[in-house]
Amino acid sequence: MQQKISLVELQHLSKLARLKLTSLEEQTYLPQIESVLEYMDILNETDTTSIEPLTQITGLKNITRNDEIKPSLDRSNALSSASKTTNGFVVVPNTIKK
Amino acid sequence: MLDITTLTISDCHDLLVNKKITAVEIVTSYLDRIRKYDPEIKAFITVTNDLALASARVLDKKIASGQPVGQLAGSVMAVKDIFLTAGIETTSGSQLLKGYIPQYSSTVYQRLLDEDAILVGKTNTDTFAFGGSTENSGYFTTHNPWNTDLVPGGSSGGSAAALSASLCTFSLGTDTGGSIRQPASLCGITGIKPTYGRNSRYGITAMASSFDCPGAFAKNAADLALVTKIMAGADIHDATSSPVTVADYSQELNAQTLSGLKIGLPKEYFGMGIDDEVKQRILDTAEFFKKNGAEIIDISLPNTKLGIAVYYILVPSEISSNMARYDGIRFGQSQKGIDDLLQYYLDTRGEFMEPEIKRRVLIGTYALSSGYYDAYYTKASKVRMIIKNEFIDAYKKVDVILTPVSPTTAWPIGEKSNDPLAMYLSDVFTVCVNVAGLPSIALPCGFDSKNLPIGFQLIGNYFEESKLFSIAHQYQKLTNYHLQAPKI
Repeated sequence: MQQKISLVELQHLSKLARLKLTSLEEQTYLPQIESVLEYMDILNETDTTSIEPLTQITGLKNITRNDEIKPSLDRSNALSSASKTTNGFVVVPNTIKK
Repeated sequence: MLDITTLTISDCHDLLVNKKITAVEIVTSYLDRIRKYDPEIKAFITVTNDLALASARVLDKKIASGQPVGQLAGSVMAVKDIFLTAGIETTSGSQLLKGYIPQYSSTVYQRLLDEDAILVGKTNTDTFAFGGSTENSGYFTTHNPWNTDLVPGGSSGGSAAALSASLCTFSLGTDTGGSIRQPASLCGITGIKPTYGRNSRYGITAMASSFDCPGAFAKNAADLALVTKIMAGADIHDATSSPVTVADYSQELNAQTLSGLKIGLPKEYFGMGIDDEVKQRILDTAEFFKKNGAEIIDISLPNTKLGIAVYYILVPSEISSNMARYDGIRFGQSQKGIDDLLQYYLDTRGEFMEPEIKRRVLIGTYALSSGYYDAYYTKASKVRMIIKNEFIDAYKKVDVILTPVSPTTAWPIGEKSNDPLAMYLSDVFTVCVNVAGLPSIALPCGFDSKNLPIGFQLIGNYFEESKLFSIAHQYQKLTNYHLQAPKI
């Protein structure tokens, strides 16, 4: 049977998903994910050509609220979980190379 | 002498308001018991000892001065550590959120506090609720109070074990694919997964947003009805919470008689690897309902076998999206001393995410990627529609559907932890309820030859929680399985 996922694909996915994997992790996850994906073939036994996909089940539509200003967290409280802050702002690592 | 920790919510409430016991006595009884038994059970990540006692003293003052108290005054609650609790560490069972102190509380937890329930601690869970045994927790594995070599089930295993071991009056969990019903079944207690949208998801770390359902565990269906009535209802902060009126579940506990009740028994739920003893016990339970006047109707839900595949495509897809918010910048743990943003993300998430998070994020990223989207995500979404429609058709013939919850009773710690697919397959009887978004109550109905609890579930039509509580209450008036406690 054709392999569902290759090591190269796994490495590409892990970068897309912003996950650094060790080579031991790659070796562990690759066969595990392969077996899960193989199991999913069971879905191909069912004909779904005339079926609409179900993406939510509540049937609710366009739920809105009034755009009113209400009390909210003060700045220091809102920033209290951030890894690094300065002068009331979150500090992030460089996003543009110098 | 009166053992406070055996009392139900209403018993505790009556004794408290009639000044036979104090809130401090109630809280102290539970804290003593937690100190004695939790080192072995390991249900709690955090015990809120001082806060619980301070809350109890405030409540006692209210009562002494004749002020009105809430419906849950006298109750002590344990809360799964994925519900945000303002000012109290909330880890989601992951090292990623170790030390995270939320600035606000989840809606359903706040509603319970507003009725004077007292928090006694935050309970263990598989990391971000990804799992069915608590073995995926980033901290430790919880032990089943009926046999501490065994798993309690999961992901809400800490809350289930805490209630089963009488370490609280009721507890909170979430059910995305069975994470309330399965540990309830494995620990011999009563648990409800309400209709999707019945309870607000606001302030609960998200797993799969179109599946997640907060709910509760309690000593019996009557307690559970009261807790659910308080938790339920629309919330401005959750656009998927339902505007449907919440019935007074407590007042309607006797509204449903077993006589004339049409119970569907789907044949697909009695194959697929079910243990013989479990199967027999569930069939005996159906027979019990029949003897008490219910009509048992054989039905078929032919696509049940596809539930696991649908679930383990759609849920990881939603997980991969939800987990993107953990960037190590605004909250959560992070790797220090890295100047490059991409490397910061890679290292932070690589270091602090537990293996099951990584597996599910990778599967979800795969299923949503451009080459595979239609083959996996769209296909699974279509089969989701088929499964939902099968249930809707079934409710034209029956009032409720009776099935097993878990194919087996509790299993040894470690038995499935290295085989994710085997672990996923143990969700076979619970996931379709979440795929369709239906309500379901799980309750105990006996024991296997190893004296481990067996549970069954009653799956109702949308927003028919009241009917489920009422049937479960009638069943518990005629049986005593829910009164059995583990010898710890």
